[in-house]
Amino acid sequence: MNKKKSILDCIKPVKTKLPKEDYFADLASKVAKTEQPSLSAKKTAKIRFLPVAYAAAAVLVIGFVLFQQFMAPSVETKSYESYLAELSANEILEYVESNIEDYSEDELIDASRPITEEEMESSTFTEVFGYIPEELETETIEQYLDEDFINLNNFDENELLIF
Amino acid sequence: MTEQDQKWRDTIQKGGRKAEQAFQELTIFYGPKLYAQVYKLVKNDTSAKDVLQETFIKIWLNIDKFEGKSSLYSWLYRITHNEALNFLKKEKRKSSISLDQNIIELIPGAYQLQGKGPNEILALLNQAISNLPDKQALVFELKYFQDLSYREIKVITGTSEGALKASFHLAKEKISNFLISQLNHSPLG
Repeated sequence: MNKKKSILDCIKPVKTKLPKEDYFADLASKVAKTEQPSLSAKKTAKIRFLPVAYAAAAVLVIGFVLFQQFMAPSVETKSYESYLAELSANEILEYVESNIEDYSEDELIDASRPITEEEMESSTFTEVFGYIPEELETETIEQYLDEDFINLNNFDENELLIF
Repeated sequence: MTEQDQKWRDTIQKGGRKAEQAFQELTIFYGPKLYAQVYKLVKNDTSAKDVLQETFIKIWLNIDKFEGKSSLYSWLYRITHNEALNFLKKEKRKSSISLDQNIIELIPGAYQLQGKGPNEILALLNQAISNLPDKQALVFELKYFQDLSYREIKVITGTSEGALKASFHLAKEKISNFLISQLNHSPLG
């Protein structure tokens, strides 16, 4: 059986005349020498870029944290006094009675001692007495003042402003 | 990737004096094959050397990007081919006729070639090779144009001789069919 003839058999490649080996050695040296600075420049550029990259990363992190805080649902904070005001006298009494063992002797003595004059002078009314109950009527207050012989004229204007 | 290719790549990636030496070895080994490949496309020595220089600059700067999934020669072949095509595009010389030496010769009286000249046939041949997958193209290049033995190609590509023979056979068939279709020729018996 005859071997199928290819069209490529009609074409005869001519071997290319190659440059001498020296040419390739010189080419390599030339390329390696001329382009070596580019390689180091590439590395230097990377090193120079690092602080900028770190700074950018830090800004991103801080920004993200602030954004999270900003976006977080705001929690209404209540003061200690307002929580206390919501409790009834009985509830407070109950709590103190059931937890009386949690308090040291010194704490109990300190809590029960009378308020000194010095403290009265340096503190505001609310700091000493807590808060003024809203349900207290003016007549009740006046009655209390009369019974205790408290004359409002004895107080200066600043002291009375606390009411 | 062959052991030698890996050694060259790793040494060049590390940089320094040894890198230059490794690069020189690589250039001396692959340079002639790549020169022949370029010459076939650009058709003269000066242009081939210009393209080859650009090619080796690219290789020097980008060898760290070569992952070693294919043979080093496949990678070099692709870079070289692209550089040559870019050169031709820039110079607008794709169809120019400025030969320093013949690249192919035609068998006198070969009626299958429809009276076409060597340059027309070479242009068709190059076009046919461009259409091939890289592996087939480079095997065809090394076997047909550079007349290397399968054993030599095996060393370069790290592919078994059997696989190389199959690749060359497929490449030859595809190129023949392309030439026949382009020359409006019926298959030869």
